[in-house]
Amino acid sequence: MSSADKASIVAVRASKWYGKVTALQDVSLKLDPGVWGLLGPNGSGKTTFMRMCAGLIRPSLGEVRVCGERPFANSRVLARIGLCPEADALYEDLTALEFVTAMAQLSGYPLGEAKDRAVKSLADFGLESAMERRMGGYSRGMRQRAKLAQAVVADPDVLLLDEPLTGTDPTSRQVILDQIKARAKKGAVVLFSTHVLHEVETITEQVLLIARGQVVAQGKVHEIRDLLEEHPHHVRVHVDRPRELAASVLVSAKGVVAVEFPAEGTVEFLTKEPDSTYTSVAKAALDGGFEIKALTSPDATLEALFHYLVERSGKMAASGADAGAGKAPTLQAQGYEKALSPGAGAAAPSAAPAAESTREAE
Amino acid sequence: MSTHPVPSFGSSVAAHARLGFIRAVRGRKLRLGVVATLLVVVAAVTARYLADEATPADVVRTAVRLGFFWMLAFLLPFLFASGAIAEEVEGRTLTYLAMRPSGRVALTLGKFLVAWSFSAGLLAVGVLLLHVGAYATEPSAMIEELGDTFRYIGALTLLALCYTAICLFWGALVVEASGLISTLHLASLEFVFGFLPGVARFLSMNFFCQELAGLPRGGFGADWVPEISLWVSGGVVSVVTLMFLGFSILVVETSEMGFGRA
Repeated sequence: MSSADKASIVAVRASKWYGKVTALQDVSLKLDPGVWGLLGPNGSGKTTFMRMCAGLIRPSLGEVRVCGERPFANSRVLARIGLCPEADALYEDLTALEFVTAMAQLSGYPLGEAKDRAVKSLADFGLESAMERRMGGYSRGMRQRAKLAQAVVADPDVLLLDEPLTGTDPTSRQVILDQIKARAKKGAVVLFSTHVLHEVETITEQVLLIARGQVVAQGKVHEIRDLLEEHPHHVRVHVDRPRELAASVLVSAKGVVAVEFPAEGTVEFLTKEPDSTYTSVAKAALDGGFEIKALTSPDATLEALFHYLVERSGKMAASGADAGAGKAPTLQAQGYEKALSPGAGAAAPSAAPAAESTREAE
Repeated sequence: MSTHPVPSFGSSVAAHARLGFIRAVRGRKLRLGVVATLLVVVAAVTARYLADEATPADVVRTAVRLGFFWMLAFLLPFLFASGAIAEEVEGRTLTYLAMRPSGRVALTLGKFLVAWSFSAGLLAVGVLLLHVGAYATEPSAMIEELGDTFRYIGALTLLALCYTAICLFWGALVVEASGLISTLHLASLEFVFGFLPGVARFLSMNFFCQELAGLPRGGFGADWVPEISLWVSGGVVSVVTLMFLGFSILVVETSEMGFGRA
């Protein structure tokens, strides 16, 4: 099997912008057969990347290759791609069977075979009893399964699933996840986007983290979890005497790397050991008689990890620019991706000198 | 991994047309088109039997000119073609079609064929019903005059082809305002210019098709419009149709069709 035949997705410095808005910035990666989770908050560029892989849009800069070829308006490649779009859009007047049959026909199967394939796909997703009903009357979960059935009807080598579990009940969810796993076992590349970490955990270990249009990390789910544990947490305290509290806490707390006073009556600790900081705050409050109005941690979520990684890549970009003076900025940005990648071995091919400079900066 | 067929061009167009046909049959637009056509036919046939001095040939000619060339020939292609691509973009269903190996040229041609078939079909059926209704009391004349009626149908079919291409083009190019821009084009270049004197009338394909139908010239300064052969009329309409269809294909083939939006 030649490299052009092998199911794969390769992006090399792919960027996409609309006027002044950057949707995707300098993304480089290589995805081989298996399930890949594409994690990112809303508006991070997941859908743009999916659409680029599905040949719906072209990169403004760089390139995306699917199975070795550019997908935009390329029938040979499109024949090997299945896409389940995020939008809850279907032909309301058609039955699921008519819809999926039509999609199989558009994929090159004659009517009889297209219908057989449609019946099988719909049955795989548990819609055998409802396939003759018009989709306008479907529940959200059924609509999602109809969308998935059309995505797999031509047995694609590259399956792009944009938030496929949205609106599904636990039973449908299991059916969908089983189907995804089965496709990957057959040798397909399955790219599965979501903004919920635990959805990915149930079917794959391999994840890509994307934020603000950049791939900020790539690796195993447990490594992402470790990052969540590792990255400095914010502990915000609303108190009557913030500066005095800060002084008391700094004496006893471990792992505090910064203290800020973002507003009147507020102190914020940036800490690598949040438990120790909480204990110190409580002890200081008791000992010093502080009046604590609120104690919050604004970033104990995956969202916070994205922000942390983006912020970190931004800082590295600034210092990397000095270290790599004279090199193109895109090369440096790629280096940060690699440096940030917990599974660096599986990371995208990127510029080694830039990666070194970022490690120096670290 | 299984092998994946790449559909032939013909089967791709047919698959798109089949999908479009099913959707059009179930949609409201077809019903609206049928009602509009029947209204014109019923009004003309009623006038034929209420006006004592009207001959069937006069009624058919006048109804074809006013009801079909000046009304339905605009309405039906607009109805079926202006939203053919734009509505898929707005409804976000174009994704399913554009990412298939059948290709975007086949997509455009499939849409074009469906919109034209329904427009031309309704126009043809409408004119035939008008003919039968107008000549209902004169069976021999009904047969004799069929030649003229088929000539009207032929000209209207060509005009529907042209207007379908124009509306499809604007629908693909200006997705957000496909209806408005198509209306402006048809109302100004096709309708208004169809009444102007001299060579200004040559901008209107409606004028050329009326020439092909053999209808008498009307409007402002009709005598000042130069005589032209039927071959030239047919040629001009065909070239303009192909031009707009070509532009539509170019737009759909090369643009991102709103996929960049969130």
